[in-house]
Amino acid sequence: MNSQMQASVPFYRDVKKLALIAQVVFLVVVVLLIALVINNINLGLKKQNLNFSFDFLNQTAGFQVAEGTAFGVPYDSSSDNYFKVVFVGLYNTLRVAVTGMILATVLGVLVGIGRLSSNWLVGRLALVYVEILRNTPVLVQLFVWYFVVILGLPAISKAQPILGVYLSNSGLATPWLVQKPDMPNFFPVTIIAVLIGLAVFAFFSNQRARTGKPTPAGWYAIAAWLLVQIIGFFALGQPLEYGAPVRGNFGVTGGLQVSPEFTALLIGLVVYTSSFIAEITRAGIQSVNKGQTEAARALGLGYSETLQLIILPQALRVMIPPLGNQYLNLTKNSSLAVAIGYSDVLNVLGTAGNQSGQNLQTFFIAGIVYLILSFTIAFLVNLYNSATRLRTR
Amino acid sequence: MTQPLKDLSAAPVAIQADHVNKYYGSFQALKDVSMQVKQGEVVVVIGPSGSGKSTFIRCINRLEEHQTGRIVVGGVELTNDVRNIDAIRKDVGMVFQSFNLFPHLTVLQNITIAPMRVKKLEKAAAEKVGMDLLERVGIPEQASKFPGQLSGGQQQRVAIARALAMQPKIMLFDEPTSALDPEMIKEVLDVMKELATSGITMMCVTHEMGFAREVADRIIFFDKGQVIEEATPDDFYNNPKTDRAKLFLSQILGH
Repeated sequence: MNSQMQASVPFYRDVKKLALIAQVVFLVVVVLLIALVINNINLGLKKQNLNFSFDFLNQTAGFQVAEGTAFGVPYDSSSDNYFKVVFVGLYNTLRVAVTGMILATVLGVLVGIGRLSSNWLVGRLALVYVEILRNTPVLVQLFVWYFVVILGLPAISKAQPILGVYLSNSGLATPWLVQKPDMPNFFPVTIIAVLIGLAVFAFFSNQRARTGKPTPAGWYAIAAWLLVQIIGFFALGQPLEYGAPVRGNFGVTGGLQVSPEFTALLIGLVVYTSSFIAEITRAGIQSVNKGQTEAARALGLGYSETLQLIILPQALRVMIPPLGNQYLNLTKNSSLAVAIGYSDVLNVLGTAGNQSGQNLQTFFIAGIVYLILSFTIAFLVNLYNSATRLRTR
Repeated sequence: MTQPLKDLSAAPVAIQADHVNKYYGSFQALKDVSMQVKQGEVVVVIGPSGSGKSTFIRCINRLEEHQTGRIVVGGVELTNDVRNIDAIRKDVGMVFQSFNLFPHLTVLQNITIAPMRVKKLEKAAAEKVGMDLLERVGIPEQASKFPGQLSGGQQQRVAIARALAMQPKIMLFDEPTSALDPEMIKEVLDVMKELATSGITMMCVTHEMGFAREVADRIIFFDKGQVIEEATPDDFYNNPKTDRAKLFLSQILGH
């Protein structure tokens, strides 16, 4: 093989040059398409005499949001601007999405295990659950949960408290640690505590993998999380107090209040997503070689020990990537909040857009917000995935 | 080289099988299998593939369920009673053809998980047992690695250590060297030979004729779900009584 022979290949037969040409052509097409879209937007804006600016975010929002705060900072519609109200919506979205992901995972894994149960009734019930829920639209399910189930509960004046908890058609009210109004915001402490807990978990899991020494990383993480919360509580001068719900003439005050909209959206998203997670769990468990169960049982480990110590940890590796997809779906489906009047970020942005006439910008912001949320979830899932990768030669 | 025969006539019975039948649907995998293994005896089960030898060995610790007949292990009858099954599994260790190590646990964790969970051994004590066993099978330096980082021979030695960690009275081997590269077979057989001289009861399905000859007290020949022949290794290899055994031996020893 000499260089003269290589040089004699014409460019349209040279693999490397062909690949380069294809890339250049593709790039040109993409740039042209983007230019077309931008030009179109500009023309449209000019026709309606609008300009694409985000200055309106500094104006006073002036509309009420039914629930939520800007991450612990109370929102006042008469003085706070659009910028702040977006964060109230984002807070509400995150509240329902994060809670939803955790609950959907727990419920989905349980139903998935039930699907594989040798108990005929359990298996059938799980099958019916999965097939009904994943084969009907989530919007229909949300309507059922909201209008039929939640709004069908007794009125607050007739609701009987159970252990101080009120459940009525105006939602759930339960005793809780609540923020004192004139004290520093405790919410950032919770976020920092959770992040530190996750970091501790990552550190000790990694150490376990490196040294082979079994370390209770989960317990250390929980201890770190609690410790930071407690230190933060005292460092900020005890900004939380115990509050119990009290029934008044116009509903309940005090304690932790959960709106019927939040409840319906949470239940709807959890139940819907759990049916998919159940199938992912089933596939994950079935992907584990039967020999693993046999080896565990031959060693004398029981059914639940085998499942918990041997099968699920291995199934989880297969489950994580599709589980990540379900988390993304759940987060994006939370934008259906608008249908039952929950003040999530899209709902708030929609109102802001209608009121200010800056619909293009608000939808643009909505897109960016969901993009950032999705990328964050995907990043965390990938992080977990690579942390628990099987080690082979 | 044949070992001097152990005198097992006075030894108690470790495994007793009476008229065991097993079906997969309409296919009969085991036909009226009866046999007895004494404590401390090393029995090698051979036979062509599909002859039911693996099925039989897997019935002994209830990985497979037999339909009729009796199996008694260490004085406990194998019934649907969970307590009996658990008691038998505690006393019976098993080594599989495909190792079946737990890939998400380190080598040492693979060994300590059952003593800690089933026997409620303290972690330190379990790890001591685990390291001693790794020493015994010759790979203490691999303790903190994951199974996927080990060679096949090393993995199978870990699997043997894992089974021994429960201090079983009986060890079952289901073709322990069939999935190994030729140069790794010896290291596993050496561990098994050492084990055979330790006085533990062993039942081993294998195609390793040299091993069978060297360590077995008795050879049981299976074909089509039946026990065709039982004999000492010398008798079996030098003058097999049945035509089927003769044919089998000529085929595996002929090349």
